[in-house]
Amino acid sequence: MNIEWILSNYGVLLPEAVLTLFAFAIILIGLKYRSILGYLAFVGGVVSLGLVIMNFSVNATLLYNSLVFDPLSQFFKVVFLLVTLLTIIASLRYYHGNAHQGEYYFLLLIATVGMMFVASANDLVSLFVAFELGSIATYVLAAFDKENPRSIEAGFKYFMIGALSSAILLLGMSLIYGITGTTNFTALSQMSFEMSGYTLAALVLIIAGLGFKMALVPFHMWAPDTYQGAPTVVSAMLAAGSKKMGFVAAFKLIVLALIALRTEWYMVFAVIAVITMTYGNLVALTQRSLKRMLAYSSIAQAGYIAMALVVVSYTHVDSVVNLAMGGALFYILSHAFMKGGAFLAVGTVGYMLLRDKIKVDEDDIDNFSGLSKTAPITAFSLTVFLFALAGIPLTAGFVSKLLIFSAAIYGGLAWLAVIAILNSALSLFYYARVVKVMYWDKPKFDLKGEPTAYVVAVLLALLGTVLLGVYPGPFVDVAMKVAEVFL
Amino acid sequence: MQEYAVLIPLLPIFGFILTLFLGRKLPGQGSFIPVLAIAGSTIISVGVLLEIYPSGEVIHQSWHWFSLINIGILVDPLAAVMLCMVSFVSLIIHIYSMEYMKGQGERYYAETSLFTAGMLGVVIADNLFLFFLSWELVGLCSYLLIGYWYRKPSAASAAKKAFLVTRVGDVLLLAGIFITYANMIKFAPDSQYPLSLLEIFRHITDIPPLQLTLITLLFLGGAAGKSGQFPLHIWLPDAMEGPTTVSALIHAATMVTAGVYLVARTFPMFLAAPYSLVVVAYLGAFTALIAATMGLVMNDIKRVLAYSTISQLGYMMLALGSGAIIGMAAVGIAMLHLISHAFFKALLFLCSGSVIHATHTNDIRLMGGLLSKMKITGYTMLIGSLALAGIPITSGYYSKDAIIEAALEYGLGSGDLLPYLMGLFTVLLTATYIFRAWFMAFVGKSRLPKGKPHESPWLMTVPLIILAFCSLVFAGAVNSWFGGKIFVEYVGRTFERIAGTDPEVLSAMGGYHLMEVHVEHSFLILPLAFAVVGVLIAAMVYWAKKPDPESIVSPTNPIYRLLITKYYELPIIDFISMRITMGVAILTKVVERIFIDGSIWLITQTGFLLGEILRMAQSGIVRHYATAVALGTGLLIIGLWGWL
Amino acid sequence: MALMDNYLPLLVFFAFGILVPVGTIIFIRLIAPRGEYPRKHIPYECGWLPIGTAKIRFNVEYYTYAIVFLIFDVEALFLYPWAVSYKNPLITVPNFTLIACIEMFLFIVILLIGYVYAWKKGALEWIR
Repeated sequence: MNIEWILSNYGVLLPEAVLTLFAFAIILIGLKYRSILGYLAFVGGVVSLGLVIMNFSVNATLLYNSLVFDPLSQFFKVVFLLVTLLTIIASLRYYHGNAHQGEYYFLLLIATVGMMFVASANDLVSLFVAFELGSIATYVLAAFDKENPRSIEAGFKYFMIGALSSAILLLGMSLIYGITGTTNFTALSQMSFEMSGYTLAALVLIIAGLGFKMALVPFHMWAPDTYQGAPTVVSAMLAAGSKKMGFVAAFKLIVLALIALRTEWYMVFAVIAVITMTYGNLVALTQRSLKRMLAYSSIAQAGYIAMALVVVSYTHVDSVVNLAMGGALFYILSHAFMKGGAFLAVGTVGYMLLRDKIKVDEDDIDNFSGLSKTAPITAFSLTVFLFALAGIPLTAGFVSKLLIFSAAIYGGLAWLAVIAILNSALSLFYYARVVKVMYWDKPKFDLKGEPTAYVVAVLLALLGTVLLGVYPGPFVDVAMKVAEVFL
Repeated sequence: MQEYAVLIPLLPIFGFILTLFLGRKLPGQGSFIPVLAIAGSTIISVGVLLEIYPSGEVIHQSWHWFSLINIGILVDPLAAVMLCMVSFVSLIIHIYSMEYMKGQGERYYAETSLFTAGMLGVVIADNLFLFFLSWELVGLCSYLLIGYWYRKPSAASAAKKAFLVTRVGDVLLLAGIFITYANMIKFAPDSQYPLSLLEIFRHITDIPPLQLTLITLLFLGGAAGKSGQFPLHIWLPDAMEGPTTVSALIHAATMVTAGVYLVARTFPMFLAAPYSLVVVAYLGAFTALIAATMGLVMNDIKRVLAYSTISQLGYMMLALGSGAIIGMAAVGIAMLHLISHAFFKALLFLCSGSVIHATHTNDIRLMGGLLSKMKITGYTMLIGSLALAGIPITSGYYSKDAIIEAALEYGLGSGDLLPYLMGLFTVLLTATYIFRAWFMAFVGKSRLPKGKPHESPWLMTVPLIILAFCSLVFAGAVNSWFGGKIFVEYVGRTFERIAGTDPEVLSAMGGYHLMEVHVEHSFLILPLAFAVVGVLIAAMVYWAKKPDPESIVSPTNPIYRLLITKYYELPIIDFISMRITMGVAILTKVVERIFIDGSIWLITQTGFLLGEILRMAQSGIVRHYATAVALGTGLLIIGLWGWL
Repeated sequence: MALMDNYLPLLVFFAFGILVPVGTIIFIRLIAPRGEYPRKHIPYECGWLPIGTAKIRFNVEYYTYAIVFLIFDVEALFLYPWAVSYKNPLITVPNFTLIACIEMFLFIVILLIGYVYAWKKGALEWIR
C-alpha cells in the first residue's frame, strides 16, 4: 500500500481531476467573487488540455478495465477541451456580470468532464454514468438564460427527450448484459452473438439511445428547438462538443464492443445515414432562423459522419476501415471548429444586437444583411465556416468530406457516396444564401463594433478551420493513427 | 543555392503582393520592389546553374497535398538555362520600365511581377498540373497587360482577342493533359504523382504510340496558341496594343517562348510519338515563312517586330521538329535560339520603345533620320537587327545557323527538304524586313510632323547596352567560340539526366531513324549569303531608293494587298467567329436556357417543396418528438427483423 | 433454454409483485364492511379532518429541501454496500482497500462541497 503506486497508475486521470478541481473551485469562489471565474475556467481547460496532449499516446486501463486511456480517448478529449475553451472565451463576454456565472462555468466544466469520461469508458456502466454526467449538465446549460422563455423551452425539451433516450439506452444495455453476462467492452468484443430478437432489439435500442445525442433522424427532433432556444454559446457547445460525445460513445459501444453484430448495424446505419443527411439538408433549405439552419445542417453533418459506420460494417478491408474511421475522426475534429465557429459567429451578431438595444429575433437571417460592412471579421469568418460546412476546398470541411466519401467509394458503397455528394451540393444553397445576404445586401442595423472576446473565439475557430483545410497532412496522419484502434 | 531554388518563382509573387497593396504609398509606385525580387530570382537562378553545371546534377523537390495536387520543382539543365534567361530578361525590362512606365500606376509593376512569377513557374514546374496552373497565370497576366490601357478600345479588344485565341490552345493542352493523366493513372505507382514529368518520362513506352501522337499534337496545339504558331498567331500582332515594355517582356522574350518550352520540356514524348515531329517541323517552317512575308509590309514598328517574333518562334519549332533525325540535340539547338532570340528581340522592342518614347508614334513612315539624334538607341538597334538577320559575330548568326543546319540534316536524313528550303528563304525575308524598318526609322530625312526627338534617360539606355552586349556575344560564347557545342550538348543531355531516357528506344517507338548526317561545308555558307542579300535589298530600296518603295507599295499590287490584309485574315476570322461560332453559341444557349436552367429550377423547387413538407413534422410539441423516437425505434426493430 | 432459466427468478418476482397488491385488494373487498356516508368522500389525511382546500401551492423551497435531503439520504445508503465490500477477502485486486477508501473519501468531499454550496446559497434557510 503506497501512494506512489496510486499516483503512477492514476496519473492518466489527471486532466479530468484538474478540470473537476477547477469546477469545484469555481463554484465555491463564485459565491463571493464573480469577475475572475471565466478566466479560471479557461486556465483549467488549458491545463487539462496540456495534460491530455502530453499523454497523447498513452495506453492504460483503470478501475478494473472500466476505463481505458488510449489515443482514441485522448483524441476526443482534445476535441472536447478545444470546444469548451472556445465556448469559455465567447462566454467571457456573454456572461460578463451575470449573477450565476459560477454555476455556468461549473456546469460547463462538469459537462466536459462527463464527455471526457465517455471518451475513456470501456464498460457499459461507466459509459452510461459518464454519458448522464455529460448530458444532465448540458440540460441545465440549455435552460441557463432563465429569463428567456425560449431557453427554458429548449432546456425542457432537451431534458424530456434526453431522459427518454437515456431510458432507451439503458434498456438496450441491460439487454446486452442479459444476453452476454458481461458489461465490459473488451469482453463484449470477443464474444460471438447468436442472432435473435434480443440482439436486434438491444442493438436498435442502443442506436436509438445514442442517436439522440448524435441527432440522427428520427431521434433528432429536439435538436432544432434546443439549438435555437439555448444561449448561443451553449448551442455552440452542444453542436460542436456534446454531439461528439454521442459519436464517441457510438464508436466505442457499437464499433468496438458490438463488432460481432456488424451485419445488423450495417443496415440500420445505411438507412439512418441517408435519411439523416437528406432530411437535414432539405429542411435547412427553408429556414429563416440561422441557428435553426445550423441545427439542421448539424443533423446533416451527423449523417455524413454516420457514413463511416456504414462503411466499417460493410467492408472487411483494413485500409478502408482505417480510412473511414480516420475520416470520421478528422470530420469530428473539423466539425468542432466549423460548427462551433459558426454558432459563435451567429452569437456575436446576437450579442451585438442585444448590446445595441435592437429588439429583433436574435438570429433571423435579415439581421445578417450587409454584415460585411458593419462587422467585417464576423462576416468573413462566418463565410469561411459556412463554406467549410458545405465542403469547399481549402477548408477543413472539404478534407473531411473527401476522406469519408472516398472511404465509401473504396469500400464499395459508391451509391452512398453519390447520395452524400448530391446532398453536399444541395447544402451549398442554404450556406451560400447567408453569404449572399451578408455581402450583397444593404446593412439593416447600425452595429457598433465587434466584441473582442467573441472575435477572439471566432478567429481561433477560423484558424482551426483553415489550418485543417490548407495543411491537413499531419492532422490526417494523427486521425489515421488514432483510428488504428478500430482495426 | 540549391535549397533556395523554390524561391525563384516565389520571390516575384511576394513582389506582386507587396506592390499591389503597398505600391501606392511607396516612392515610384513601388517599382523597385519587383526589381529587387526579380534580381533575387536572377541571382538564385544563376547560382543554381553554376552549381549544377559541373556535375550535371538535377534538383527535384516536391510537396504533396493529398494525392490530387502536387507542387514541386525540377531544375534540370533545360530548366536551369531557361530560368536564367527569363529572370535576367525580366530584370532588365523591369529596370527599363521603372523609367518608361513612370506614373502609370502601381498595377503595372504588380502585374509584370506576377507574370514573371508565372513564367518562372512554367519553367520550374515538375508536373503538368503545376505547369498548367502557371501557364494559365501567364495567360491571365498577358491579358491584363495587353489591356493595360483598357480605356482605349483597341487595347481592350486586343486583350480580348489574345485571351480568346490562346484559350483555344489552352483547351487543347488541357485535353492533352487529361489523356496523359488517364494513361498515367494506370502505370504510376501509388506513391508517385501521375502527372509528374519524371513519372511520365519513365512510362512513355507504356503509352500506346497513337495515343502519344494525339497527346503530343494536343500539346502542340497548346504551344501554337501561346507561341503564336499558324493559325493561332493572329493574336500576337494585336497584342502590341499594350505598353512596349510588355511587348518586350511577354510577347517577345518570355511568354511566347512558353509554347516552345512546352514542346522542349515534353520532347521525349514527341520523340516517341509517330508523325508528331514531322508536324512540328512543317508547322514551324511554314509559320516562319508566312510571318516573315507579312512582316515585310507592316508600317507599325512594333508589328514588324511582332511578325518577326512569330517567324523566329517558327524557327525554334523547326529546330525541335528536326529532332526526328538529330535526336535530343534538337532541344539544345532550339533552346539556344530561344535564348539568343530573347536577348535580341527584347533589345529590339526596348529600342522601339525608346524610339516611340521620343517620337510619340509607332509608324515608321513618320520617322527617319533618327540615328543622329538617338545614337545609343540607333546603334543598339542596329546590333539587334544584325542579330535577327543572322550576320556573323552576333548571337543570332550562331543560333540561327545551327537551326538551318539542323533542318538541312533533317532534309538529307529524311529525304524531305521542304522545311529546310522554307527556312532558308525566310532568312532572306528576315534580313529584308528588319533592315527595312531600321533604314526607314534611322536614316534619311526626318518625316516627323512635330517635336524634337532626343535620346532616352540612362535608366532606359543602360538596359539597351546590356542587352546589345548579350545579343552580340551570347550564342557564340556558349556554343561556338570556346570549342565544341557546349550549350547544345549540356541542354541536349537533360533528359538522360532526369529520367535516364534512351533516345534510341523512344525514336524506335516513334518510327524515326536517328542518324549522323554529314553536311557539306559549302551548304553552310548559304544562309549567310541569303542574309547579306536580304540586307542589301533593304538597303537598296529603303536607303538608296532604287527602285522607289512607293512604286511597289500600292493597293493595286495583288501581292502587296495579300500581305497587307494578312492573307485576308479578317474575313476568314469573321466567317469563323460570326457564322460558325455564333451558330454553335445560339444552339448551346437554347439548350442551356431550357434544359439546364429548367432542370435546375425543377430541382430547387422540389427541394423547397420537400423541405416545407418535412418541416411540418417539427411541431414543437415534445409529445410528438417522443412519439417519433419511439416510432423510429419500433420501425427499425421491425424492419431489421424482416430484413434478416 | 438457459436464457429463460436465468429470467425465471425475475418472472417469479413479477408474479409476486402483481399477486400481492391485487390479492390484497380482492381480500379487502371480501372482508371489509361497506357503507355509504359523506365522510367517505373527504380526502384522507392520516385520520385528521382536512383543513381548507387540498389545492394549495407549495413553497418552492420545499423542493430544495427535498433534493438536499435526497442527496444525503442516498449517500448514507451508498455507504452500506461500500462498508460491506471494502474489506471483502474475496476481492483480490491489489491495494483494493486503499483505493476504496480514497474513492469514498472523494465521494464524501464532493458531497461536502455540494453541502457548502447549498448552505452558502441559503438553501437550508426557510424564508417565507
